Amino acid sequence: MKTPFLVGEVIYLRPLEAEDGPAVAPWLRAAELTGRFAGALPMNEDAARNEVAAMTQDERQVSLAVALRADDRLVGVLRLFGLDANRRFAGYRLALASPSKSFRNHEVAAREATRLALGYAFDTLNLNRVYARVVTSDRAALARYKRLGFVEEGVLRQEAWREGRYEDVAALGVLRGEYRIRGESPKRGRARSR
Amino acid sequence: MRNAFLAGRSIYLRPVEPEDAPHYQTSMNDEEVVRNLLVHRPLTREDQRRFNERAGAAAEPTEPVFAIVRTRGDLLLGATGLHAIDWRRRLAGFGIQIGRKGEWGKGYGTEATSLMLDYAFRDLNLNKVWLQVYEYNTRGIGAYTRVGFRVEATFREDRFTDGRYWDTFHMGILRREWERRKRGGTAGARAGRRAR
Repeated sequence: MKTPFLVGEVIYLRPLEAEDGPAVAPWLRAAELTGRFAGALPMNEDAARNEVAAMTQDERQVSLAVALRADDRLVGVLRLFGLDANRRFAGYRLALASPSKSFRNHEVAAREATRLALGYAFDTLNLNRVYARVVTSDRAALARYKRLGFVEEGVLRQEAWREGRYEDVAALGVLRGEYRIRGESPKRGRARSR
Repeated sequence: MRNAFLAGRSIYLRPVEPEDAPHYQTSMNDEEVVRNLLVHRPLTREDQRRFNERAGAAAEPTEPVFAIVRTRGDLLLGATGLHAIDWRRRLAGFGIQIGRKGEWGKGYGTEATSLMLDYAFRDLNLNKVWLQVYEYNTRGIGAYTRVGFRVEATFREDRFTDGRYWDTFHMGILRREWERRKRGGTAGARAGRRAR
């Protein structure tokens, strides 16, 4: 592992580096179609490096690279963003490479990365709430978030524009004390004692 | 009326002027006004001056702001605006404050909100307007509901004020809903009012 920050079983999270920019840009693009212009405008490799560097310098967010423990391969990026000191919340977004022959454990990686991020958000950053948004058609992500303790707080109608049409966006939120640490978690002991 | 941009029955919207700043600064530091807004820090005269200067010149095209003025007596009541207009998704957030507390409960906020929806859908060609309102702001929720917004989500413990967390409602109105209300014209609006 290279500069591990939070370690899971299959993946670990490490600081995001500017040189990760070009690799990470397409994943951000796919994951951020619910956002403003991300994905709709071209971004060259320099711009991608600058974008990632800006993410790591922004004090209102924590961005981490997701890497496989087996071979240190970079497979995604996650963000806790919009950290709010008064309301003690942050948004959460995960952008992973698509599942493929060489990245079969996509779902396990997604679950682990999110669990590690939530543990960090509540136990280290002392947040009270983390929210996430995902297009309602992304059933896998919805199920994953709910499994980790997120509650569906509503549906924001027509707030995404993907492939020529509007899509609804599910609003998910998890409060301190609600997030679930599954058995295989590195925080096994604490989870059981709750 | 002076320099009216959008005129309603009893109020009108006009650009923000530098001389509005003292009124705004007072209300934007008033606890009763601010608890319904997304601010929790003191606002200096210089902050307010800069805000008025930028808003008045439409320095940020995705953040149009208007002064709300009562037509009778040309009385400045507050401000309203769209936030983060997103031209690709064709949506924008909505915000409003009536700092003149003696004028609360007279329907001016409802009227200003309705004018802003006309502006968003008729002039700016948006598809959706959304807003966030805290659960304790019943006057706001009433006004937004009357002009056609509906609650789409409840963000739990999303707001902190008065020493505790509160829920925030995310409300939205789609273009097609605004069009339907316009087509229904005053008849629809009247029926709605009766039903309530």
